[in-house]
Amino acid sequence: MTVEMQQESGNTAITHRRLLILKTNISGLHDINVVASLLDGNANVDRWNVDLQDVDHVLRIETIGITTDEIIQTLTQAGYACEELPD
Amino acid sequence: MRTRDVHKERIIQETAITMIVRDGLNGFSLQKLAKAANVSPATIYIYYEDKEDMIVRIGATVAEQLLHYSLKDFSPDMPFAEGMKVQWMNRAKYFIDHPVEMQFIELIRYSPFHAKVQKQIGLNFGAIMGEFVCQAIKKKELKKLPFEVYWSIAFAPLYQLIKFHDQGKSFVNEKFELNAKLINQTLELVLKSLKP
Repeated sequence: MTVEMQQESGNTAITHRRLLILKTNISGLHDINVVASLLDGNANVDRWNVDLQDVDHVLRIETIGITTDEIIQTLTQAGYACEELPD
Repeated sequence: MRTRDVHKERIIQETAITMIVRDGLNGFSLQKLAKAANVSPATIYIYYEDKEDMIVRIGATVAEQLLHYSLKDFSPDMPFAEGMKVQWMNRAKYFIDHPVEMQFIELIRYSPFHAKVQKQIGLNFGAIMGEFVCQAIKKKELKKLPFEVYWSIAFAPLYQLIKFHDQGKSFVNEKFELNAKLINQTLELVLKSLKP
């Protein structure tokens, strides 16, 4: 699921703050470190986390400008299964 | 394109509280919650990062609600007896009006999430109550005691009465209902024992 987040200040400015919610097979600390190496350096990623306790290993990303497709591509290239979690 | 929906967020929160009180913190999962609240799991992740984030933030919301209630018409400058009466009546009112939230708060209090909830609470409740106690000791209206002893005498009796009320009975009586007269009777004894 992709959620367009409304900016609290300045209602005329167009913002691209997004929340991406993805189903993955990221599991365990090793995988988290790999994903961290991919996302932590990206200035457009505000924050991210993986819910390892959930059956869908949900990856949640707060971002400015990045699309779901770009994230899926990045993670697929790193060898992970990753798809949009449907609404 | 989706946006946040305050109404949905409230339903998710209320359902989560009810489920946690019924099934306990370990039995609770976001997948089960999604089914019970009739939303997709993805929807829950709009509002919360994971299970822990949800428990901590809902815990903080409910705790703030209780603190907000308990500070109504209260000031740390009040004479000790008067301030205690306001605190007791406010807390009793909150717990009697919100029995599910009360059980939820009790669950959180004895869980590993408690410290994180305390950190999240914006309102500086500890400072307000601390000042109330300090002033009361200075004005010689309250005995100087270790905090745990003070709290056990000052508030635990009220919480036990509320528990009896919530159960609707006690060890001896088949039926028990808390009322203002019983609260006052207990509070009088509490105040007597805390007097220097």
